Amino acid sequence: MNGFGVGSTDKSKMPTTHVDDDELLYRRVPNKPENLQVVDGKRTVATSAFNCRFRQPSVNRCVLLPDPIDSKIEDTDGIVGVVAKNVREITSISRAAPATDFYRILVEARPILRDNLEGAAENLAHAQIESAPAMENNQRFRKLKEALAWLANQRPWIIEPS
Amino acid sequence: MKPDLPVPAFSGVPSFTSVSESYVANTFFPSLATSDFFLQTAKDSIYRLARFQANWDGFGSEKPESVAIQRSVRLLQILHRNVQTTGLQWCDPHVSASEDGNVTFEWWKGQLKLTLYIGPRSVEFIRVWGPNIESEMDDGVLHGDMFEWLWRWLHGQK
Repeated sequence: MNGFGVGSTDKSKMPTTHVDDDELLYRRVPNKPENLQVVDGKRTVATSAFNCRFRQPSVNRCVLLPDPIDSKIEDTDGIVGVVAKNVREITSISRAAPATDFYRILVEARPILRDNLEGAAENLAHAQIESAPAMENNQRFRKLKEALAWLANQRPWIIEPS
Repeated sequence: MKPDLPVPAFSGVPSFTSVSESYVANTFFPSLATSDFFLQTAKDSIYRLARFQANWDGFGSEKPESVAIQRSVRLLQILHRNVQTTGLQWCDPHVSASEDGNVTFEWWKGQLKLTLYIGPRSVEFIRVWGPNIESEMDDGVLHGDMFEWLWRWLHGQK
């Protein structure tokens, strides 16, 4: 489940397999009180805006789906943005002992092709924020969500929830 | 610090008609500002989670666990009382849920942020003061009087 709108994907652009560092990524934020909070007079996103059952939050690549409206599912959805480089720079997360290595944070192009097995709508702009290796537990993923919400709150809303 | 005052009888009853109760409380009992009575808005936010089904957020999250919801209501009251001992001002948490069905409480204060994850068996916290996961966040299991310490940290006190 990608939980992301598809809009009018520009099919003239072939999906690239690499997400460049300077790419802007859109994250859809459903207009629910659970996702939004006013802090110091500014509407901010809570960590639950980056919930993901598979610990791989979905985003849309602006370069392939430029109009943020196309990343909405509901008219009331908001759209926040994060830059791929900033996501990748979220420093490595230590793995739980006895492992001694780290999770690397990745931004991976995961285009959803037509006639996929899940029956999801085609979305060539779809990408995922992942880790290598995959996170073993939610405790680690919670920190990633905190970092993503932090980054999203550093930028103005691309589209405010309405 | 104001003393604990008797809690109106209906304040502990799960309710989905929060407007009237909170309105009445604020309008007619302003002197109860530090009592549990004023937790009703936050409690209503918790009870709202009980109505959610799986995939409530469109991102595939599990339905919030009923045990976690019940624990959250009790924990809210405990945290509120703990904060009263610090002499610092209480503010209601932002209430939500995680993909694994835990209830979350979040507070922001300037560049500082505190998140609690309330699950069926434990309560865990994350402190955040920047986006760097290694050097600007830490986490742990909440126990004892640790919340008072966390609340002081959130308000810039050692």
